[in-house]
Amino acid sequence: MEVSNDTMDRHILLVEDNPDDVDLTLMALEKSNIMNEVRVARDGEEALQMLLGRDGEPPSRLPAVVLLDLNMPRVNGLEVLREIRSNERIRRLPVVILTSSGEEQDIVRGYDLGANSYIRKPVDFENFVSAVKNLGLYWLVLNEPGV
Amino acid sequence: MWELNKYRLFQLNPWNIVLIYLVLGFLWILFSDRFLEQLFDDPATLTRLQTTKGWFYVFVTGLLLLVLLLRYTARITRMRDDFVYRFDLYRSLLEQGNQVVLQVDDHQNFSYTNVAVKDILGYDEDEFRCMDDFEAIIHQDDLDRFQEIRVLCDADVRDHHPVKQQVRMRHKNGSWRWFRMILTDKRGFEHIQSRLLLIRDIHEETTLFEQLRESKMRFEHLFQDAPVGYHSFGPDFTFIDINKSELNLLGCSREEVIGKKTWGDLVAPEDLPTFEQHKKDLLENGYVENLQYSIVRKDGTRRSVILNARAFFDEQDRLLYTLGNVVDMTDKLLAEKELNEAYRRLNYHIQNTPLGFVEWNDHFRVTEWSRESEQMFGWSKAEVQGKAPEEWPIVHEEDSELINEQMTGMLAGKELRNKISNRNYTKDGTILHCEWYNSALLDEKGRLVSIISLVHDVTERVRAQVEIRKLNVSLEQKVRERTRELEMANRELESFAYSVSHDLRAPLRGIDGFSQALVEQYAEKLDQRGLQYLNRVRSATQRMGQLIDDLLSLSRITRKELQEEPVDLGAISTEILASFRDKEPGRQADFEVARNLTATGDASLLGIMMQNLLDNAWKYTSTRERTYIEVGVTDLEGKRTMFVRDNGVGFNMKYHDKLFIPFQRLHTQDDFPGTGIGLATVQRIIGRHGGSIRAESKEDKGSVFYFFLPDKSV
Repeated sequence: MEVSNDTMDRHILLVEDNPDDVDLTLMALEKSNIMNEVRVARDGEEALQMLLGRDGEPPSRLPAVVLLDLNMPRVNGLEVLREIRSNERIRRLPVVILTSSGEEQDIVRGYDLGANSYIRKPVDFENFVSAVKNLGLYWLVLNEPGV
Repeated sequence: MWELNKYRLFQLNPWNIVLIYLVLGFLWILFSDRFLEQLFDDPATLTRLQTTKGWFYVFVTGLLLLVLLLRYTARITRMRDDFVYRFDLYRSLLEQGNQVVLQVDDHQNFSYTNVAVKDILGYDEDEFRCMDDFEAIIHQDDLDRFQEIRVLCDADVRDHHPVKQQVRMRHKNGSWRWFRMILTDKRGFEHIQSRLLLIRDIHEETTLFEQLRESKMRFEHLFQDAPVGYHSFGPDFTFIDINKSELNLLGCSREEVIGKKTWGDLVAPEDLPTFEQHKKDLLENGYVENLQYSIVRKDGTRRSVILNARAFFDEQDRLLYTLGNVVDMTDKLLAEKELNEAYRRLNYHIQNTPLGFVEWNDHFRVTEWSRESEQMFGWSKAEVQGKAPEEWPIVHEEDSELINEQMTGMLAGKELRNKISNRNYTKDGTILHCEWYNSALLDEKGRLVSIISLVHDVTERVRAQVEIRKLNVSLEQKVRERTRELEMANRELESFAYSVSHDLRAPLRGIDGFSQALVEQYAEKLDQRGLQYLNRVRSATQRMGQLIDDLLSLSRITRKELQEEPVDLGAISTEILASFRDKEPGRQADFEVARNLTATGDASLLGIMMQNLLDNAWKYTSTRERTYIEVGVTDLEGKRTMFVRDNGVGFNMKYHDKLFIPFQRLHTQDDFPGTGIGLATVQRIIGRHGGSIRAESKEDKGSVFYFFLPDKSV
C-alpha cells in the first residue's frame, strides 16, 4: 500500500496493558502494511504523560489517532478519554476505543465521553487484522485531524 | 163524620104531614056526617052538631099541628145548637191546630186558610190565600212531588184517596223547613164540595229521624266493623246477633250461626265444662269477664279468645238476652310465646357464647355475669352482682384510667358502642389481655338502660403477637442481611460477566493470533500435522469466543430492565425470515406468518426471542429439500398461544426437558453447530414476561414451539 510521507509522519498511540494484545496489534498493523510509527503506553497514566508531557513539558508531536483499551490498571481507558476531552490542547484528538468488551454500558459511556469510534476486538485473528487494517487506513489516511 | 140520620124527623116531612092531613080530613068529612045522620034525625040538632063537629075538627087538627110544629122546632133548635157547638169545636181545632189547613176549590183556588199559617209559614191568611205563585215557596227539588198533589185538585178529578207528600217550603223569613202535605178527598154536600190541603210542619221529626238514622248507622258500623267481636244470645244461648269481626273470627257466615249455633257449639271440647260453669255464673251474677276459650273455627283451626258477657232479664228474672264481646288473643299469645322463645334462645346464647357476657346497669354495676365470664375471670355471678368495676380487683391498675375515660361517655349516653383493649386480673391474680366490646342500650327517650359487654380473652393472641413482632424484627434483620449478600452477589456477578467479556476474551485472541502467526511465519518448520493442530487450536478458540458471547447475552437478558409495549411479532418474524433469504438465496423455503401476532412486552427482548426461535427453525431445516417455517397463533387451553412450526429434523421428546437448559444440545456440533444457549435465552425472555414455552416434536418430523405471553393490555 502506498503511503505518502505526510501520512508516514503521523504516528499512532496504542494504549494497551496486555503485551499479547500489543504484539498482536503491531502484527496486525504490519500485516496491513501500515508502517507508521506506533507508540505504546502500558497503562492510562503513561498514556496521559505521553499526551500531556512530563513535568509540564508538552510533547513535540501528537498522534494522529489514539487506540485506547478500556480495562487497564491504575488509570483506565475511560478516565484517559475524559482527561483528553477536558484538556484544551488535545481535546480534538481522535480516540478509537479498541477493547475486548462488548458491554453496552462501556459503549455508551465511551461515546458519552467523546470517543470517535468503538471497536470490539474480534477473537479471530484474521478478523482482527482486517479490523486494524480498516482502522489504520481510515484514521491515518482518510481522516483529517482537527489539530 | 156527621151523623145526619139522627136529624131525620121520623120520616115526616111537610109533604107527608099535608097528605096525612088531607086523608084524615077527607075521611072525617065523609064518615062523621053519616055517623051523625044515623044517630040524629032532627035537622036542627044535626046542623048544630055539624057546626060543633066542624069546630072540634079545626080545634083538634090545629092542636095536632101545634104539637107537631113545637116538636119540630125544638128538634131544629137542638140540632142547631149541636151544630154550632160542633162547628166551634172543629173550628177551634182548625185554628188552634199545628197545621195549615187550606180549602181548595175546583179551580185550585184557596177558598179558606186557617190562622196557623201565620205561625207555621209566617204569612197572614189573606196574603197566603191570594199568593200569586205558590210554587215559589216550594223547594226546587220537591216540586215534582208537589205537582202530584196539585193535579188532583182539578175539577175533573172526581174521586181519589188522600195523598201525602213531604216537601220543603220556605218560611216568610227565608228558612226552609220540611212539611208534610196531605190532600184529602172531596168532602161536603154536592154543591159545597171541596178538598182540604193540610200542611204539617215535620221539620223537627224529620231532622230527629235523620239524626236517629245516622246514629243507628254509626252504631251499626261500630257494631259491625269493630275489631272486637260482638254478639247477642237469646235465652237458649243461640246467636241472635253477631258482627262481622266475630264472623271472621269464627269463619262462618251469618246464616250459619243466627238461631242455629250456641257458644257451646264453638268452644273446643276441652273447654265445654268450663263453658257450662261460666253459663251458670252469668245467670247468677248478670255478667262474666275475661273468660278464656279455645274455639274451633269452621275450617278446623283454633283461635284463643277472651270473652266478656252481660245478661239482661225481665221482671220475672227470666233471661231475655245476653250481650258479649270477644277478642282474638291468638296472635298476641303466639307473639308472647315467640318472645319467650326468643328470650330463652338469647339467654342460651349468652350463657354459651365463647365470649364472656356482662351486663351493667345505668350506674355501671353488674346485673348479668355469664358462665363464660365466671370461667374467664374466676369470680362467680354472686360475687360480682351489683358491683362497679372499681369495687373488686378485676381491672389492671394501669388501665383503670383508660376504662373510666372510655366508659364515661357511654354512661352519659353520648357514645353507643366502643371497644376497649385492656388488661384484667382473674380471681387468682393472673393478668389477662381482654377486648371489651361494649354497647349501650337506650330507651325510646335516649336514656341509658344498660350496657352490654362482650369480653374476648386475647391473652394468647397478644402473647403470639409479641412473639411475632420479635420474629419480625429478626426476620427483617435477616432479610436485610440477605439482601445485602444478594446485592453483593449481583455485583460480583456483574463484574464476573464483565471480566468474562473482557478478560477471558483477551487471552483467546492471543492464542488465536499467535497460532495464526505460527501458521504464517513458521509454516516451513512445521509438518502438515502440526499445521493441522494449530488450525484446531484456532477453531477451538473461536468456539470458546462464541460461547463467551452467548453466555454474556444470556446474562444480559436477565439483567435488562423490561420496557413493555405492544410488539408486532408478525412484522419482526417477516423481517427475520427475509434476512434468511438474503443470506442464503439458493435455499428453497416457504414461510407463513399469521396476522395479528401482537404481544405485549419488551421489543428488543422479544426480537431476540423471535431471532433465536427462527434461527433454530432455519438451522434445523437446512437439510430439507424444501424448508417450511410457520409463525402462527392458536388457542391452547383457553390461552392465546403463538407458535413457530418447522419441517426440520426435530428431536426426540425423551430429551425435551433438556431443550431449554443452557449449553445442553440435542445435536452434535458436526450436524448442527451451536452453543446450546439460544433456547435457554428464549425461555428466559418468556419467563421474564410471565409467559411459558413448550415444544412438541418427533424425530425427523419437524417441531413446534408453543409460547404464551400474558396479555397485559387488558
